[in-house]
Amino acid sequence: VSTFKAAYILVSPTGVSLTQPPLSPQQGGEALGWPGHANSTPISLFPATAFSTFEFSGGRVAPVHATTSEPSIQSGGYRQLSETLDDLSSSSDDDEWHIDIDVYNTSIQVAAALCDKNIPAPHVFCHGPKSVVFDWHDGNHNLYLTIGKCRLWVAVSSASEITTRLELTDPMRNVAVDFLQGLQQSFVNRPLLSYDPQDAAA
Amino acid sequence: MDWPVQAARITLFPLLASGPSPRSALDLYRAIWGKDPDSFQGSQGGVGNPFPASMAQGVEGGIARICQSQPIRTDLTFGPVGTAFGADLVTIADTSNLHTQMRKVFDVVDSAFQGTPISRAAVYLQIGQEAPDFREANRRLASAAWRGRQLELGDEEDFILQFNRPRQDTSDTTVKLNFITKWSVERVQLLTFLSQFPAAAGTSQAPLVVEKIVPTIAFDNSNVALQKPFDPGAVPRMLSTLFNEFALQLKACNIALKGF
Repeated sequence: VSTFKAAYILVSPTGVSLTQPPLSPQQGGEALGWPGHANSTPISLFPATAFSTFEFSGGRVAPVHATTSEPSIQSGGYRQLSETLDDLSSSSDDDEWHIDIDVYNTSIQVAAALCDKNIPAPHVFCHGPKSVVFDWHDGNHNLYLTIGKCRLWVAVSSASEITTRLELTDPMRNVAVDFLQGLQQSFVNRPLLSYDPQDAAA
Repeated sequence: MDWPVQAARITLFPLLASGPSPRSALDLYRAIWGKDPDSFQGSQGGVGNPFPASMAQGVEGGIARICQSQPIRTDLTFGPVGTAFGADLVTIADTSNLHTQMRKVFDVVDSAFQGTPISRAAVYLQIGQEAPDFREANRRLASAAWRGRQLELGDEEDFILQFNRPRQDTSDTTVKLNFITKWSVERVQLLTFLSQFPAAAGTSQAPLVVEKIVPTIAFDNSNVALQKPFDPGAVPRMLSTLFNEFALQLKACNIALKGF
């Protein structure tokens, strides 16, 4: 069984420099073709302002400066995660932490699926009512799972670059369950997030 | 040899992050069985389960029906109605009624789960009987081996054998179906609380604990989760396909179960 990372290879255009404006949560997740590169592969963008700009270099997407200074809510376990999501949902609409009820329902469903597979509980943060981000960190890399009302995106980044990003919930090909299966395997068989897409491609 | 039913279950799994979560157990119970449950319990998470869940239960025709709704699965469980006295292993006596009740669910499942995208369906049937000791439990399981194959068992304890006979769905060959059969000798602990009898001064209120040796055969049939939701009408068809296999599995084990 391949790990989740090996199952999803990001094909990105090379040698392109591009500055991407911050994405609002509403814009996030749209599959974009990169202008000026007819052969480029559409990429699902990480739907967040967590990385305010991107620069393509050598086939990698590097965050020029990250805005993850937004406070992260430490979640020691799934009970705490569940309570945190409940608090976010039940806060008032004008609260900066508030998330929509549909986002809450989906995030609870994803959290339950993660728990069901004995995957360690993630940290959670949000940056608007339209999505919630689950985050695992292994010391060198972060895995971000961004959860919208009916969509899921994953991104893997190190301090210097984003190595993988993709959407898991194409309407005709929802691979969220396969991803969780792979994620479970990666926790069991190897250090989290040690994957290099170039190795997998080879 | 008589193999009464211990439990049966229909389970539906929603496609992750693709639409509304399953409705509450109360709504589902009403939608599926057209009446209010005898009891309902909802929680925002409790001991053993940190996520919101709800449960509704009632009794119909001597069969207990339990609807349990969780974020990633909904279970419709059929079980025996417990007795107030004694420490006997209760089972579902009227298996024809069980068969009918499970079949009826298939007809209403689409409307009951309105809007929830389903990617996986499962049916489960467990039969079992008390045995006086492990040797006899093993002998009974051996008599129900797959197509008469020989199981050489003596007085071994805690026997387990399981296999899967997967195949592609004939209606959609991209869908893989799992048909699992499991033989096992279980140790079942029955707890009887004597709360209805006022305790005499100085007497204990501790529950009675009786351990039973129960040779058990379980059939667990499901489809591998799809990457898109079932089309309308496909869930009942899938459930029927999985359910119909019980007859073949029972026959392969040389077991006749009325109604199945």
